[in-house]
Amino acid sequence: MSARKSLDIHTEGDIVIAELSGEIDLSNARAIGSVVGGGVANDAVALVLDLSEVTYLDSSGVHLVFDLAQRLGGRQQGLVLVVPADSKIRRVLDLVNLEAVVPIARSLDDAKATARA
Amino acid sequence: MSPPRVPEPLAQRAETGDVTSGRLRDLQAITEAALSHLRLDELLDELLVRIRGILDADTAAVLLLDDESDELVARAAKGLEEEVERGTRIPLGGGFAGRVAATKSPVILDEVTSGNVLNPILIEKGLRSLLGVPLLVEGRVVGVVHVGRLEPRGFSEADAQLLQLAGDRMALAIDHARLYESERAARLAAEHNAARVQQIQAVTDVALGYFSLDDDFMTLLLERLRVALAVDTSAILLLDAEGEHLVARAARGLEESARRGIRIPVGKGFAGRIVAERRPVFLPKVDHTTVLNPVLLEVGVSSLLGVPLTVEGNVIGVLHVGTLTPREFTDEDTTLLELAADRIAVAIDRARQHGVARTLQRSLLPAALPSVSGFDMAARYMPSADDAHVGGDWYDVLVLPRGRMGLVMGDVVSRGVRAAASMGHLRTALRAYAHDGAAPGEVIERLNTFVRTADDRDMATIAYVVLDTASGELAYTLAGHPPPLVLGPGPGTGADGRYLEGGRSGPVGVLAATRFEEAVDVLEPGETLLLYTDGLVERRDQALDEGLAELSRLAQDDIDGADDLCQRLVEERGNRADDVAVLAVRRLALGVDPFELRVRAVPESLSTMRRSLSAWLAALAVGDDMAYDVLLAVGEAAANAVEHAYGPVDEQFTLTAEASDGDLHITVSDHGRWRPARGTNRGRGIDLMRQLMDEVDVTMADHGTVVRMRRRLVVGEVGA
Repeated sequence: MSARKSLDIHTEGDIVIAELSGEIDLSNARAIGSVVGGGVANDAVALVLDLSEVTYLDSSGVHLVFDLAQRLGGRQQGLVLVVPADSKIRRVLDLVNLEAVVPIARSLDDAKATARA
Repeated sequence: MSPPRVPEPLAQRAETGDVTSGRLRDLQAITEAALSHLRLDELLDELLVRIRGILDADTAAVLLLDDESDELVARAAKGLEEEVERGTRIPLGGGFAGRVAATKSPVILDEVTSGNVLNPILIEKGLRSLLGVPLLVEGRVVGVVHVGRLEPRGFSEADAQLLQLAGDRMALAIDHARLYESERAARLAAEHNAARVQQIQAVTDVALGYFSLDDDFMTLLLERLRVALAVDTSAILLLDAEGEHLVARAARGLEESARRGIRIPVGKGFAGRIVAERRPVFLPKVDHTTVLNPVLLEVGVSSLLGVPLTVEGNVIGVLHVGTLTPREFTDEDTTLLELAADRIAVAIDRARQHGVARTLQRSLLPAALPSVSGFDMAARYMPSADDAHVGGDWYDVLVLPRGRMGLVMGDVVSRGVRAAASMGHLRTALRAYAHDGAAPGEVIERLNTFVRTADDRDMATIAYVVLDTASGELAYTLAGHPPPLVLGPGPGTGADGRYLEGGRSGPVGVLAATRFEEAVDVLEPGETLLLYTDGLVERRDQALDEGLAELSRLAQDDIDGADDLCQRLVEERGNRADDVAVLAVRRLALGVDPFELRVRAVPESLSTMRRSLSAWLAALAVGDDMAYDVLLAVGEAAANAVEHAYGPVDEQFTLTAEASDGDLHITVSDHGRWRPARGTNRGRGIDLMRQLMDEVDVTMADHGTVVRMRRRLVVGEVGA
């Protein structure tokens, strides 16, 4: 049985919002990355990756985020993560100091504001 | 124009050798003057008078270095320059004084002209020669002192040497005076702070005296707070029952908010953010983009500082203060507000508890205790239903150094308002003494002294236990308090629990300088230690012994975990007339078998593996945060095994985990070889592992790779 996951992508104006939930590990990180990356149209200004409902994230997931950041950056598109303050995955993101490279917002609203700023 | 003369470097300041005895006396007088004055300006004046005398100069002046701007600032002068405007600034290197400072050596000007001095006063006054020396402290320039004469070529090398000697003393005196000044400033600030803290305490002492949660009480509280922090508005918002909205409950300067029943969703606006983020927020500029509450804008609030109100780790609301003119709230302001918030939150919670107890006979408020690996702990506090009885009971679980835990159960003997205040002080003092690391007897002794010398000398009974989490050894002191109960592993063992009968002394706060007895015991794996207050065992119609026996039978009856035990006890032995508090600490049996799992080396199996390991960690009662770290680290090692191990054949890797001697040992072994990290991304796995675990060892051999990891499982993890 592979890691439970679910993925929802929709667009709000000029930003794309991808909501992930469940666990992200070696079994699904690459696939998620492809789907999400592919879901960002060229004219979108930024991607908001909502990880509020993600319960497990390890280096595979971090790799996916970095990958996305690189790809989008290459197209002049922004990437903002949503990770609530009490989320379990905060720990791994802090350890790899992800926030130094990709902005992390505590709520979807904050993320959208950052993405549009 | 004759060039300035720099005297021969003074290789040695052989003081007495170069100086006549008369002049030596003069120098000594300078030192004495220096020591007798601590106010800098008085000091400088006196020193200049003496220097002028010694050197027979027409003028003497001192400039001090402003470190931040690298300028010399004229501070004092005697003689012709006396009307020199204080505060004249000379840049380092510029003019006469500037050069003295920059070269850090004496300079003699035989002939003063506008070419070699910056300060026009010197020329105006008709000064023709100047001698200046740097004031040095440990090689650092702190200023310049110079003397002048109306005749040209007025100063000799000997004068320069003398002035330098005087200058050295002056420099030390100045440094000393400045230190003293900054110390004074710090002390004044601390006193000011202390006064403010006292004001805040005055606020909350009021709070602790009230037990009905009505608007008058909160308004009074806010008014006091407003004055203490010198702000224009203050407000309290509380979370509604669903925990999704903040409701304005009371305000000063913003009364409309409460009147209109303004509601702010959690996460939105200023107050909503504070709840969501659980930390203070300072808003320098209030406008419609930063706040939701229209009243703030209508009143014209300009800056806001808010902190969460938390009780036992749960946010129950927000406390904020605001000003009508822009204000840069400082860290100190935030700390003071948090201090007030701590106590207001306790007061509100107590008021609620009391309100609840009045309407519901058995209202139980479970508390959050630190999560300690290897132990299952729970507590209950039930205030008495009787209004006149305000709780003086308290309990505490302290995480102490070197893997120990402090367990406290206390009961302040007075009733009413005093009990609450005393309890707070006792609790804080005991925590402080406990953290100092002393044995229980000593801790209680110090506490006794503290109570005896405090203003509100309330008697208290206390049971204090220090437990070594690795060995189960415990030391305890009972200061007039009922004995702790140790319960066997489980139902059906037949035996009643046993009471810890040693370490008995009188209550705290009765006799001065008394020794408190201490005894030792052991809590074996599977046993539960129960601390409680007398409300659990005392009944008017029953002897204490009987009460104790009953408690023992009841408790031993069916141990299903600390939480259930506490719940059951307060329900069955709860006491209308008295508060009841109970704390249960169960040492988990080490019968948790080592974990071993063979996992198919494919990505899809990682999730199941994590779930299994997670269940095993839960059986060990490992705290949530630590468990997550371990899962992450194992997840990385396992992912590596999957990725790097082998080709498409149906291979496996093995995961083992065991807890021994307070350490968690984990191995992940496979039959492949790890390839070196590809790019920057894969190597991260090992880095993460090393950050999460105390030790990581990767051994690659021909037959396979073994990753060994170790993590200390000691006390100190506060549960998520």
